[in-house]
Amino acid sequence: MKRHFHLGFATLLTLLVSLPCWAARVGDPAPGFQAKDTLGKVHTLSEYKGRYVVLEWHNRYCPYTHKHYASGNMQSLQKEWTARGVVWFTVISSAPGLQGNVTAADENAYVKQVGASPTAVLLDPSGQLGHLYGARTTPDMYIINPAGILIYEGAIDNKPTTDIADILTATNYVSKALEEAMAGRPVSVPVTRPYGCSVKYAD
Amino acid sequence: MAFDLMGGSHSRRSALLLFTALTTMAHAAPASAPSHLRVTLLSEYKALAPARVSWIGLRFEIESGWHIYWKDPGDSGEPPSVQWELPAGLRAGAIRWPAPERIPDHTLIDYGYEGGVLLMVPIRTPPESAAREPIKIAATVKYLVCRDVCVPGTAHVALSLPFSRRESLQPSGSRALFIQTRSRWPKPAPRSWKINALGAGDRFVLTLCTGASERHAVFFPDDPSVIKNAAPQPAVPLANGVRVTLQKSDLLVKPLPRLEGVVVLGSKGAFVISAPIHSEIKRGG
Repeated sequence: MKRHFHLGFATLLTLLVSLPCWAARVGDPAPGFQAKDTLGKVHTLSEYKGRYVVLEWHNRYCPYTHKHYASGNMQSLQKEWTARGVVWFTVISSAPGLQGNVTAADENAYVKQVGASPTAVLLDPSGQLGHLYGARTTPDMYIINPAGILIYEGAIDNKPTTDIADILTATNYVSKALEEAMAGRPVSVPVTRPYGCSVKYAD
Repeated sequence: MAFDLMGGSHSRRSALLLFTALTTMAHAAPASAPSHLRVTLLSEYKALAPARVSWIGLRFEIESGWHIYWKDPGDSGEPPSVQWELPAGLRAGAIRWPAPERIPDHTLIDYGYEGGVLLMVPIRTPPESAAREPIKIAATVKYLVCRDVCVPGTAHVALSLPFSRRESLQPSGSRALFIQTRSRWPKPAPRSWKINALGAGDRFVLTLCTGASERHAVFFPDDPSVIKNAAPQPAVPLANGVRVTLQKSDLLVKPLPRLEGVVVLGSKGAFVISAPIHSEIKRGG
């Protein structure tokens, strides 16, 4: 009974935040959020004002996510950009029982095993954060600038495949947008179609 | 238990079949070798005729509940891709995609195929003198097959075909499948139809005047970033056609000149359309 009530409540919350007109749009202030990471720390978007924030939607069992981790591509991006002051949140919105839903301990072991170095991994099993930003696929990438404005949303790069070899010849939209923004230029490609697996939200 | 494993030859065969089935199932289990589909290379005729176009096809037989993708995969996934290995002188054309279906994938909609599909490809053959030996056509097919989860796969397929005179070409056992598949290809929209699209706020209103009232219409865009793929497409029958309302994609950053794609009209089948988009506000004139 209690469990059913809980699921129903989570679904209701999900529905409330999934209204399309509420989804984040490039050029608008990024919607504020509060989320717990895999170490139990709560992060609030507003506490990172003054810094760039990257959101990376993640599901380690999705072949597209796998492409960017098995190749080491995602880990290098995390390493490079966090070293340059960027806050990088890996976000897991898989609902309980669905692919990619993992415990905090399991995720911490995975991060260590693959050598990932995000600022933190945020757990979003209710899908609330995912729906707030309108995240559709894994990966799906968002960049928020130091003023709190969403400046990029979409694909990680321009090669929508599961083929690791494609990473070498791909244009990485996240790096390009961060480079441009940090140089004081407008982001030349601010919105792209994200590619990957569907985010495993509770239906 | 009435099942006698040591009984007559019939029972032994049953037991063997059961064992084979169980081991086959074990091999097909996700943990060991997940494929969820089978790809074979078929030819419409038993031979190739020289100096003309012959049709071959990649047949996908897909496990129940799983799907592969149309040329525009919709919100997630990707279409199969093919790398051909052909002898000198043969050329493979592009895949002809049958009309897809809307397939729900969590909160998204994918465009693709369930059950099975034949992706036909034209092969242009050289003059007869070029080849006396059977011709080997091979391909590496990369695909993504999804249910609630996705699995990428690679299949190597091959087919050997002799050359034969055009007059003596024999249909292969798959000929019926080729004919049936052609009927699922989107046809060019008849010139007599009037098709237009209106850009209105966050919607496109697509009107097709076909000359007869249509009850059902589903639009599949060529480009995945044009409409909200997951939004319902309410269709209103008109006296001489149908009107479909589509939600604009959030990914549209500049006005779109044309709505291009495939419309599937109930029993009439699928049609290729390219409709100019008019703006809702027209002043003067």
